[in-house]
Amino acid sequence: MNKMISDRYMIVTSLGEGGMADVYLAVDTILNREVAIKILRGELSSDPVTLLRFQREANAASKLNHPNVVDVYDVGESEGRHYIVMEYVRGRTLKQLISQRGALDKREAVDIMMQLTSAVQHAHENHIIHRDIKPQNVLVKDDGTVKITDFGIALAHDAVQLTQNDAVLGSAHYLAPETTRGEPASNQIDIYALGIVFYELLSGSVPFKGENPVQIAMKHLREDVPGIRDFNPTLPQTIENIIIKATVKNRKLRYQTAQEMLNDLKLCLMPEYANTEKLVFSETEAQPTVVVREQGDYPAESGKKKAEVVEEIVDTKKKGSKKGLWITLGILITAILASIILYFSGVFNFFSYDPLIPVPSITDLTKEEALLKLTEAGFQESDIIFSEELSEATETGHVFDSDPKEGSEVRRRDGIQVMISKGNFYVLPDFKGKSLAEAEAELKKALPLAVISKETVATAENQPDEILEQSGPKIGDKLSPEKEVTIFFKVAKAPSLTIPDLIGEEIEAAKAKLESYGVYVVLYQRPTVGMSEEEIKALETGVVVEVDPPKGTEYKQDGSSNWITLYYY
Amino acid sequence: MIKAFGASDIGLHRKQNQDSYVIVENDAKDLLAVVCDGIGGGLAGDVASHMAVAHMKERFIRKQSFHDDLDVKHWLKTIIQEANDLIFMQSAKSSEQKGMGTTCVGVIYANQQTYIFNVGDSRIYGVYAHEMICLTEDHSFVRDLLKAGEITEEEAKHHPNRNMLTNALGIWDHVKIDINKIKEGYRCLLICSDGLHGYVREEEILHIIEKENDVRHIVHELINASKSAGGYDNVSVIVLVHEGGDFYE
Repeated sequence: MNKMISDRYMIVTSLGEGGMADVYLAVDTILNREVAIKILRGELSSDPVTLLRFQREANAASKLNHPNVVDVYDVGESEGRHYIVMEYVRGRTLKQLISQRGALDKREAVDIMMQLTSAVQHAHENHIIHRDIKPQNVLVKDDGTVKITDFGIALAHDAVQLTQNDAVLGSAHYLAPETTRGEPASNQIDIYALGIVFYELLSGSVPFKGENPVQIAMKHLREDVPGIRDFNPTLPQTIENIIIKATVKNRKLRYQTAQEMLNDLKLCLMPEYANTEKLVFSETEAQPTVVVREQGDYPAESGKKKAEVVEEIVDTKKKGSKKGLWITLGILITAILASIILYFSGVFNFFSYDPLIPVPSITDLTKEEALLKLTEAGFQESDIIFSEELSEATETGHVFDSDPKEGSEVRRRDGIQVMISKGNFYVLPDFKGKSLAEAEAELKKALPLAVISKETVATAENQPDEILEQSGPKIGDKLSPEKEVTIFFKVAKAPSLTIPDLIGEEIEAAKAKLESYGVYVVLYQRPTVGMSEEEIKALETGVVVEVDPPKGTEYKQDGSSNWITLYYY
Repeated sequence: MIKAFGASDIGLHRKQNQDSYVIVENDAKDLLAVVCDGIGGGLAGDVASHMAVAHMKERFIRKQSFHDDLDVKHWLKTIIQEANDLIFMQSAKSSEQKGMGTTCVGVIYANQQTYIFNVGDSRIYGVYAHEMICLTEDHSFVRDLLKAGEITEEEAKHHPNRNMLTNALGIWDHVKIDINKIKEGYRCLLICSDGLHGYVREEEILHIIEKENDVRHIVHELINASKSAGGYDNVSVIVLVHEGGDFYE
């Protein structure tokens, strides 16, 4: 990597990659000092907009001279690559510091905030809005000095954007609500971001989280930043007030200058201000005026009309079963209450004779036979509940199980449940490796209502028609032949294609093209033996000169027994 | 039976048509019609919409029939999520295609029922009697602001972020999909990318639909209307009518 830039900066190592530029550690060989050099990505140098923004960033930052802003030493262009040479700060980013240490002590947090706010104030005095204040853009030196970097990078990525032309997703965690609303940038967006950074320093995490930048941006727009004292009640109210005033949604109510915020930061730890009231803003002004919608692209009443024709698809089965459950529960509760009442009213005679009955063997009997045998054993007909269920192998109409099971003993009044087969369930096997025809034949027999959905995969590795993957109900599931079910198969298909015209194409590319169809390709380099020197010189090497079978042939991969040969010199 | 016709046009200013559409039948003669409008991904803007359409088409042909509403809903959810994952993975692999995504809006007609689905800001309109109703809800930032009352109609039209979507296929590892059934009895359904509804007034769209009596003519006239309005964007239109219905009366 020992590359020289403009005969002056020797690149030592990469420090990181950004959205539009890469940053390297380099040595300034003239002044003999370490510098950071930010080089615009090669492919972006030709994009005039990116280039303009990169140069604007360089200009913005080079105007600033402040102990808490990373210095810009030089700007230039070398071999068509644009670069910015900056002060090299040995240390880590504030983000790294927070993720390593979590919430910081209030004194340390206030100290960092004073440095940041003072740097931002300096930038604002020079009419520069940073636009992308976040801990990732703050470097912390080992002695505790912090320095803001990446000035103006926000000009390059307008933070959250997912637009038709330019889908860039940036960090939305520090985004002021007015940015989301599409208002032009002002100093207040930096102040808002400072407020969020203060919150993060004191709590160890950002106030709003979401699944995507848009969600987060919407939270910044709609939800109040949570109170920092809810997180840590020992913090003074003065600190919470600073966050409240920096992050109030209406930017007119926010600190008007970073200097005001800096003044509050200087005082916030003093004991004489400890008994401050919590700052409360009534945010009514922040809401844009709502006016009656005009008839236009979004007709006001279209929602109502839409509701008349658009129906939601709801899972009625689920609803039904829930309802069923409630009914069952209702009956159960009524029954319990009734028996309690009956018990206390003495209608039930619990001391009447209730013998233990051994459950006889009833498996494979018909319902009538089982009933007879059970009453003979001492059960009364009202003690027996028959239920019809799918069984593994028992013939329809015959008993396959009971609760309690045969051989055990049961008090007569506790009753017995007898399960009668209403057919056999089918245990779904793993068809992987079998042929589709085989699977279809078996399923047709076992599950006549099953729908087989197949997707073919062109591959020469497997037998044509071989099942590669199975999904839908799980293997081993007990399926009812009376229910509809969809089983998905991925099935191998012999790769086939019409041989395209490949003559003159680069040999490896042609091979890759064919192989993408799943066919075997063999390369064959033609010998040049016997050719004159002139003939050899005239040959175009590395390109397809002949294809076997020739172009236009319908080729089908038959296992590994055939292949396409590409000839070249 | 339902009859459908669609077309897509690059417009007058774009260098590439990032829209894709498909109309396809399966064995049970169910119909799937989809319009996808590609976004982001630099030069690969057309890749995502093409992938989504190709995937849905392939899976639909293989879906032999639909049992009921829920089957349609679950199938759509699965297939659209699959398409999302395909695009998402593809864009993660290639720096040229990074950030690509697509809207995805369409109709399934099966078992004499019509189902609509939507991801993004392409739309479906239904013409019932002489009224045209937008049946989908845009997944756009401006729509959210409008719904929340944060901005007005007029502000929405000129909002700098009016092209910002809150949901699209392939952008994140998950996708939100609206799936609904609609009442039969419509005279015509219109599926379109924002190249149409973003530039041509709804009154004009309805006027064209009412004036023409052939789906092909309607589609061509709608595309011409988008071009007359400047042709600033790619435009894709699919029109569906019940065959033998009372559309021509």
